[in-house]
Amino acid sequence: MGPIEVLFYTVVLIFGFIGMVRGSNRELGNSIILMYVVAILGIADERGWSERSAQQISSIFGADVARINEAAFILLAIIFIVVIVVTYQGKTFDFSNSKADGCLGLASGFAIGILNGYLIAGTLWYYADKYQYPFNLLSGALTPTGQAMIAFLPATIFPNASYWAIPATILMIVRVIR
Amino acid sequence: MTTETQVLIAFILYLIFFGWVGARRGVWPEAVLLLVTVGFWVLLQERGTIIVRLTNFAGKFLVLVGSGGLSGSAEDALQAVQAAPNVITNDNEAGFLFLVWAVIVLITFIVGSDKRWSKYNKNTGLAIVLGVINGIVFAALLLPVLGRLLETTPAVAVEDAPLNALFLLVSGLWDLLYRTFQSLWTWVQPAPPSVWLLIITILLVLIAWPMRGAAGKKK
Repeated sequence: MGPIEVLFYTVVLIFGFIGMVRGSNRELGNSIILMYVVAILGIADERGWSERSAQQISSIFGADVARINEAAFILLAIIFIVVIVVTYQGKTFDFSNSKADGCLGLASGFAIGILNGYLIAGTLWYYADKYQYPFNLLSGALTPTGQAMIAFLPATIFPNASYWAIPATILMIVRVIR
Repeated sequence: MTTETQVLIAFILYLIFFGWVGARRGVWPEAVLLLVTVGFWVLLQERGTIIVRLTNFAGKFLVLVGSGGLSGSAEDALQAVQAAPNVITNDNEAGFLFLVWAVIVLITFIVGSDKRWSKYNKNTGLAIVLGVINGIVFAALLLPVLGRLLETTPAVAVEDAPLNALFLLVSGLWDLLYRTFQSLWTWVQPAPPSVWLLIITILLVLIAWPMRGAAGKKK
């Protein structure tokens, strides 16, 4: 298996193409929700809620306390993946009923798809890194590029992940302005 | 068949492709593309240092903003600006100017492909000629650059099986893309978080703004 950043680029690129097909009008709605979720998970992370919840769940199921990292990662990944499925499957904050035409429409869809891919793959990578790559998600050490990129993931690029609420709120305002 | 014949056929095929693109796009888009391609190439070769200086100035300005120069102490800001390295150095100047040229040509091509230009598409013959000229110009400008990638394909591998060349070319391109992504980090790392927040927000608003309020309207 290659370096983890190659997997990251690939996932981001795939979401870019998904965005190109779906159109920026639909992708922007997903971006709003994803940015809010990253902000909320950041707040939960800061306060240690995820670890405490994982401990509670582990104790309910009688799981080994030493495997708390795996439980916390599973919990966060499940929450995040459920949100992704719901936002892509359900009706979200579509910005327009029709896709933008032409090359600009394709380019804007691709750009927003890339952002969504970055938010999704980057957040999962951050939690995998935080919980020391449970389930042998990473064999061997991170490359220097991978180590540098850790500081540019959605949860780490700003001093606090809750900063993502700023562009999300501005987009919400743009969404409702007539 | 000699190698020269193969080269000739390949070149004719290449020119036919550009001629066909010219016929599809029309006279004016092709003429404008030719002017922009050649004009900006010459301009950037002769006066490219102005763009480099402006970019370095913009980089220093970002450092000034990041160090609180617009609201904090002027001395600290000046020190931060003086200490900040140039974004474009002698090592990456040629690559940067080539990127600027490529972006300008790409934008011209996209704008010229707009359907509104098709009303000027009267003279198909002239459009084909202009398309072919564009093909020759692009060959002259791009082949020396692409040659660096192609020359890494061993000739023996190409002769053994033609698909080897395709495989080596694709893997070479993938390596190049990967190395470019890696080197991008050296560019993006100095940018402070506030700049990232600003860039992301502005990009999102720019894309979302034309669509505002349209969600409730019927098609």
